[in-house]
Amino acid sequence: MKTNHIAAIIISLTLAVAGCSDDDEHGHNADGSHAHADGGVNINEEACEHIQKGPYADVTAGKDFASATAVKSDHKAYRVTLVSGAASYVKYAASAKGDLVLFVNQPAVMEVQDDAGQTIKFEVSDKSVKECTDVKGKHIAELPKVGTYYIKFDSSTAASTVSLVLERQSH
Amino acid sequence: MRTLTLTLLLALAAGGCTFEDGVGFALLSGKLYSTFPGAQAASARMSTDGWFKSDNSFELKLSAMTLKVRDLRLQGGGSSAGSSAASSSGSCTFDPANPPAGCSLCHGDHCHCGGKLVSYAELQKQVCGGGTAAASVATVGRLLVSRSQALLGTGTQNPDLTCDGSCELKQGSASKLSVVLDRLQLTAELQDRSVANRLAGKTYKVAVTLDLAGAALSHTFSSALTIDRDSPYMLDLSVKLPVTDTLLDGIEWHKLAAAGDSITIDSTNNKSAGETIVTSLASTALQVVVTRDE
Repeated sequence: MKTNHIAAIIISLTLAVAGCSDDDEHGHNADGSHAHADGGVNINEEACEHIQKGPYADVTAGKDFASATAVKSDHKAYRVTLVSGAASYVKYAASAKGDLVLFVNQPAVMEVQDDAGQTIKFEVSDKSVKECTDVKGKHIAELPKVGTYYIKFDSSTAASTVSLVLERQSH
Repeated sequence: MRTLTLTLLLALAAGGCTFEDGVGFALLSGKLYSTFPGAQAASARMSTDGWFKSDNSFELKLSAMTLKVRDLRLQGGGSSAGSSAASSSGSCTFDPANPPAGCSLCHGDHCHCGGKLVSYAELQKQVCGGGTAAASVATVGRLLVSRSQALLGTGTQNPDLTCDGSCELKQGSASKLSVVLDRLQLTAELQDRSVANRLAGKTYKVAVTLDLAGAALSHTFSSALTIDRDSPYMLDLSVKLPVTDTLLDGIEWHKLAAAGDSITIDSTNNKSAGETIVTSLASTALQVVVTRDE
């Protein structure tokens, strides 16, 4: 047999998800991010679009860790009804470490806590984005590990309902 | 004598342009390497004291984890015999072994399609459309896996898989590789050390047995593998099966039925949690290296 004729094909294929979830109707890539002509992704644009046009999911925040309601980074705007006169909690299950970007449509005092109750300091906090006026807060928290993180809205938040959009971002 | 020799040569030539009777168009070989990287020490999910963390902050100390694989199937639009969605009468039935793109792990009358469960009946409508026959998908070659794949630690390596019958392949082509699964089993201890304390400080014993009933993980080649006299004869498949580290994500363990300090997930207990695990398993990405050699 000749051994000088070798052809090797190396392929790595992600099996699972074909296309996006059912909320995808507006130019998302396979991972759900927005597609741009230059191939880039602008999560500010994504957040603006979801806050303005949904899809929406209505949830009621819990008053503590145990009663926190789950939210996801799944290209939805979560309309969170806050607890009146007290701190409000929703929770996010992180399957990977890395940045979590939080967008809200109302001024709100917020923080992210890990599953031990320790505060994750925001790397960035802005009160607006240039892409739209609907975003009234943008925060970036670097999640150091896999696990549950709690998003706490301080009782001083004036609005009774806040739209929350979560995006994952790699460095 | 000269006439006899000439007659013999002519007869051989007319018989298919080969003087090696019974030699196929390619010789199949393969190996399989199965692991669960999420439970390896370097994983971001592992604590220093050996507990694996799920995305919702439950922790499991895995003591055993095995995946039984039935076989590896090289499939595609070959001319050899194999499974087909279309009958000779032209009618069309959905073949769970060959789900459409985006769907995998078909078992229990449904497939896992992008995180959703879609019934065979619905997929038959999609595949068969207006009643026209679906494309035939042939199994070109099959490699048998004789032992369960232990997934913990460094995993299991099967360096030399055996062929189902002959390793020689007929002329044709292959467009995908399917790894046909049989059963997933694991045992572990379970705890919740988070502030939510959903298990009230208790530690549970967990046993999971999922009958996968021939469901398959598939890998589609970027271009079909040609099996003919113009292609290299040796066709070796090196397949890595790193079970997704999200396998145990999303399970609300504190809401499952328990018997004393034991939680069982199988065909009769906590079936919904079993489906959650299978949905996660469907996102496992096979890594396949194909080597062709003369």
